[in-house]
Amino acid sequence: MVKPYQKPNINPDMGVTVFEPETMANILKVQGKRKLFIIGAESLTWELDGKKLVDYFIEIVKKLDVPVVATGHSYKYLSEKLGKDKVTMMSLINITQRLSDPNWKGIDGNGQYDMAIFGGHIVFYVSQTLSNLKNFTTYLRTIDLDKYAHPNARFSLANLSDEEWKEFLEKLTVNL
Amino acid sequence: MTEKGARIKIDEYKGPLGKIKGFEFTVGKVVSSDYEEWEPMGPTPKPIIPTLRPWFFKLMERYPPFYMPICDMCCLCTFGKCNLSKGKTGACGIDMKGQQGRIVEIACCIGASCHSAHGDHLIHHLMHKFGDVPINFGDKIEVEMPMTRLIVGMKPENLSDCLEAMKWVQNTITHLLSAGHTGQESSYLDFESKSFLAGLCDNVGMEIADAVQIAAFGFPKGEADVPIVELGMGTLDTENKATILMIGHNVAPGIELADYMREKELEDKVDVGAICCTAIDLTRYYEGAKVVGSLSRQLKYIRSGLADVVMVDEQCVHLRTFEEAKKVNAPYIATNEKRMEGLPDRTADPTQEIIDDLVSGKVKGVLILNPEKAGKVAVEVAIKVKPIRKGKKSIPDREEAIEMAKKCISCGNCQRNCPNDLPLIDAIEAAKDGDFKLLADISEWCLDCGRCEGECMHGVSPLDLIIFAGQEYIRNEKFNMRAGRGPIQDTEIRNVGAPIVFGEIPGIIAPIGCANYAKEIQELYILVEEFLIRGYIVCVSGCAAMDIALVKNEEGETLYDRFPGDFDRGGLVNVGSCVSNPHICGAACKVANIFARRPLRGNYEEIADYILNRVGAVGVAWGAMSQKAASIASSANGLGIPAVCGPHSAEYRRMYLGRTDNDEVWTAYNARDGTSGHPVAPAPEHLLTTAESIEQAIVLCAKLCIRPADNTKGRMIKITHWMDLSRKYLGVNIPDELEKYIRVEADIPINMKTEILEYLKSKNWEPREVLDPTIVERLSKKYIK
Ligand code: SF4
Ligand code: SF4
Ligand code: SF4
Repeated sequence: MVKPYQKPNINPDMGVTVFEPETMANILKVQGKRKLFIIGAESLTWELDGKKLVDYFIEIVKKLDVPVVATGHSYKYLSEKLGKDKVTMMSLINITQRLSDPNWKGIDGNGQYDMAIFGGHIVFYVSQTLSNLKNFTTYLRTIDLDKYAHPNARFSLANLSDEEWKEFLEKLTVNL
Repeated sequence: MTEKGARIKIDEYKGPLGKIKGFEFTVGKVVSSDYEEWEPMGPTPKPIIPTLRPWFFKLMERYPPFYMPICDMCCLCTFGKCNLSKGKTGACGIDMKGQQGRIVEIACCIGASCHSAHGDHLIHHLMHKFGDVPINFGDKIEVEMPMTRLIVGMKPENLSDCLEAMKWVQNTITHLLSAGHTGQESSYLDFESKSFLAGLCDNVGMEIADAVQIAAFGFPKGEADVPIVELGMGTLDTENKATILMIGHNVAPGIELADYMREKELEDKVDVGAICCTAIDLTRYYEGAKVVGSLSRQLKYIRSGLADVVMVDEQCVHLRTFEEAKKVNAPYIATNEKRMEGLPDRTADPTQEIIDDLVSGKVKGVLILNPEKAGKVAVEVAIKVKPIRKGKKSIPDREEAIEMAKKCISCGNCQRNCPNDLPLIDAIEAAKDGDFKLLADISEWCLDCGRCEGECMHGVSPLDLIIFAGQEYIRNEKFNMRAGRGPIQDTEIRNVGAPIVFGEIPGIIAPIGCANYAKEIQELYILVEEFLIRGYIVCVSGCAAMDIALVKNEEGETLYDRFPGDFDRGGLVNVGSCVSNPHICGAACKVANIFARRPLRGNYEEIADYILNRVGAVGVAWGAMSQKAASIASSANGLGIPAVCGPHSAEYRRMYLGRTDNDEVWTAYNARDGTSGHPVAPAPEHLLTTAESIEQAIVLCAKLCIRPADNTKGRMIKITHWMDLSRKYLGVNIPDELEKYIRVEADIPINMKTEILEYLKSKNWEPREVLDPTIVERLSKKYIK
């Protein structure tokens, strides 16, 4: 992978950088049968070209048709836009703890997930929760759609500029 | 019968031995029956590693450690580096959980030893200076030093008694630390059990440190109406006075400095301020001292040229302060053996010689281990050096700042090395055209660590630019805070005991700890104001006590101006510095002891079980950074007091998380009849957790105040606040799993009854009994009449 966004965050086992939105679209579509999108509160304040990051994610959610966990204080916005039945409120650490338990029944009671997509989180905080999943699960693919190269996610982006990130998310959405 | 050493001091003796003046001797051990009789001894005085292990394991059944490794490797011995990720083990056999448990345990030992060594230093210094001062906090406090009573099983009556308690602390830390050696402990749960015990050591070490300074220096002894003192980087009178900046936690040299200034009537010539807990403790003694701010102000203040002398003691002092002081020609004095900085030890040299050397610049810094001498040197040097250094700064002026910004190639290295990922590239880009607004805005989010500037290959110091941009703010930062009051009075506990236990005062919220915030420094204010308005008791200490005061309302008042200092509904209690934290845990213990008449002495498990089930206290360590904060968290968690931390605390690697969806662990004994297996609310949900945003933290704090033993009125009040805050901050109408917190209809908030009943129906909710809960079998039978 490219160097981690937070440069000292070096470890022997690091994830893969996904450079092309088409590749990421393929991963999101093809890999994994039980998927969950975990959207954080930073997505409410980060804007790309005047549009909230959360709105980019909402488009991805709609295309992928996956359930959403709203962390931090992102529930209000997400549930208004997606409907309460699509969004569950849970803290980032609580959802990570559940994803880390192979016996968890999932939000819908149908069992553990095999893909967790993250976005809109403070870079150093989600890096830690991803580290739990990297070290203590074998069944979960983790993907982070924030602009950072996240060594603890299985797949993440390449430390993109805001313009590059916007373009990436738009192309990704088109390709889903 | 307990043995006890005694020190006897005789001012003047005339008799068969002749005539003796100022005579003092110590007899090894005397036996005192009073010493024995104050309370029957409980089952676990001076616990060793296995003693309380069953209690800690019981806690971890509900709250298993949750690990987030920040480093996947270990390099502790020469077998290493070992890669422990994804199920691998090291050459010694340790696995990832074991390694995380070990590192946290070592951190807790460092934290506990830091406070305890500080306390030990103070006892010896104060006994040397004042003799064996009694520990007496006045008529309103009979149960002084509750943690030492609880854990060590003794009631120190004077400074020398504390040495015995300290011996237990030192011995225990040695054993705990030894477990971290290669080839020792293998179980992560046992490492955690040891971290909890380190928390007990910390509670005793801190309590001693604060008790002896209260007793000997005459700090406030729990009075609510302590003075309002000045806070902020703009509070020192740099125009008219020589200024001294102290940084650290050990107030001994600061006290001497204040005494010297008063004795020589130099207060109109010298202004003194401090950063971190030294500031808080100094203002407990000398109202004229200023609280410059929390730990993220050190480089900003020194580089701004506002200190004529920099004097440091111990703990959390930026290790580049000497280098920084040299850049602004401010003489530097180190005063503590834990931090000698390679400086020449001038302790034994004549005072005047040291002063002359520092003023002339012959030496830039000295080590003076005698607090009296250090204080005097600091004052005299400051007066003499002020006209020489003329407020020299080490930051660029406007033109230089623009020139510096122009060297930036926007590579982003600084930003990627910034712990808070601050938008340095954009801010520096704007500064190229003379627009410093973005940099000024960043100032309140900047931790003052300096990591950005080491990373730039193009001669730019983002921190210098931030400090330049923030100069006006720094000059004008002036707020009020209340000085640290120390312990909670027994009379206050009597008044609030019942409302707390029954839930009518919805909780005690305790923001404590350091200033490693993920966002702006003022964020914690929002949380504290919210709970004060709602009638919670808010207790603060350390850096958090300062940072919540950095906001004024429209009337120009800070929270300390607006809310009283009583330990009562809607009171804002600043207990003091880091070592004052046991007054908060101690208040919870006193509720059990004074209100519920549970014995304290050597009775840890029972008191912790009582607090876990009944006392709705929650710690908030929003900017926790240090190993000390780790051991403080352990000290609270072991007692059943949960804590919510900010996002950076995920870097501690370990939380204790409960699972509300795991019904099996949320059961208790009913102490009314000793029966077992009764379901209780999953409360408190976690013992130690992080929150992503302050909004989430506020809601979580309200939820964590819920306790299984709340009476119906209290539960209703707590649920009302939790739901109200969920609506306000999260947009959640009915929190998930609300049904688990409602036992009977009377628990339901009246104004939301219809919609909640509807919700409960959809969840097939059934009423269940209101218990007298305990999670310890032994205790479930103890009080059956
Ligand atoms: S202590 Fe164990 S894990 Fe650490 S370096 Fe040595 S052998 Fe490896
Ligand atoms: S000094 Fe401030 S801007 Fe620089 S790395 Fe530290 S927090 Fe970031
Ligand atoms: S490291 Fe230096 S050159 Fe690179 S963005 Fe930061 S200030 Fe500019």
